Amino acid sequence: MSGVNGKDVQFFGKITASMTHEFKNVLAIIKESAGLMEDITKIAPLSDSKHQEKFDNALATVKNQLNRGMELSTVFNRFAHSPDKPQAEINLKDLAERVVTLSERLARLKHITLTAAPEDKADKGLNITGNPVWAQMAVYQAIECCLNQLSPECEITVTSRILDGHKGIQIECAHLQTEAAEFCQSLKNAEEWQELETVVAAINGRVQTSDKEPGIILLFD
Amino acid sequence: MNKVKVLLVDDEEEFVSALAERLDIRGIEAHVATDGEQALEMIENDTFQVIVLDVIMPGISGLEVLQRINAKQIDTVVILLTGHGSTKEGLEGMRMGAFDYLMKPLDIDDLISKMHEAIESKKS
Repeated sequence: MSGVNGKDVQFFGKITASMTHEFKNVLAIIKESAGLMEDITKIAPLSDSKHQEKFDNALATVKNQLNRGMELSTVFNRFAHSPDKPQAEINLKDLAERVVTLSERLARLKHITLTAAPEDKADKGLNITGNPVWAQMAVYQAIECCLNQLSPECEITVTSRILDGHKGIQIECAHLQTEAAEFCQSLKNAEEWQELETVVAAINGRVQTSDKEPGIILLFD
Repeated sequence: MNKVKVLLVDDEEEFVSALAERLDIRGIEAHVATDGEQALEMIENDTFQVIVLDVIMPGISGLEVLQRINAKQIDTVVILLTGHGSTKEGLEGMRMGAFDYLMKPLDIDDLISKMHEAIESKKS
């Protein structure tokens, strides 16, 4: 699936992982500098309270974006390390959460809400063994396939759970504009479907749609 | 009560100088070194209760600085700073005698409480 025994993917991963460490260093500097500004303004507040409020709001925005940057950077770092081993144990809940974070922007651009299932709904203890890059590709392509068939304002929830007696990941779509059966058929007719089947098969899995809870189900042995 | 005196070692100068100022505001005397060689020189000539040491630095790495501190039996405690992908180095450092490790970007309150824990651990 990749050239020179996966060396090209490993190369991309290695460089990307190294860059995510640099991002973290940048974020660490911004965090300490913003923290210092906050410390100083606590000791010596600005004389105009309106200016102080604007300053505090701006600082709060910096902090929020720092947290966002750190979360993205952490997820991106894990993604970059995924080609390190061609076979590894993969926790399906971690996989679902990571790919959701990596796909959020794509969903946002289409005005679709994409979320990983809340803690109490996801099964935490489901592990499979396989190629971590392909596993991420499989979940990403399943999400992308749904995004391409959905209208704005729809919702996608990604959950790790036992499905039909198998470990699996469910990509469930809500607030559809069409009937569930019609939507599922459109998924199967989509250009991406065949490629999705190939990727899932490469990690000993299979892909199917579900009319009951409309969307895609990835099942692993 | 005497001020806690720490040495912060990190090659990211802007990070370490802002951190030092923030610690200073909180009553901690923080000194700064931006590479391993400078850190070792400062440790030879001064006494620090805690050394906060970045694991990955150009030149002498944090783990090598830790090794030299151990070899010279310098009376201090070391807290390591690691990136999120460097947990392995953090654990390796603890096996080598570091008190603990923290991940960057760090929370200043976590760092201060870890420093106090480290100092207390030396007393007991």
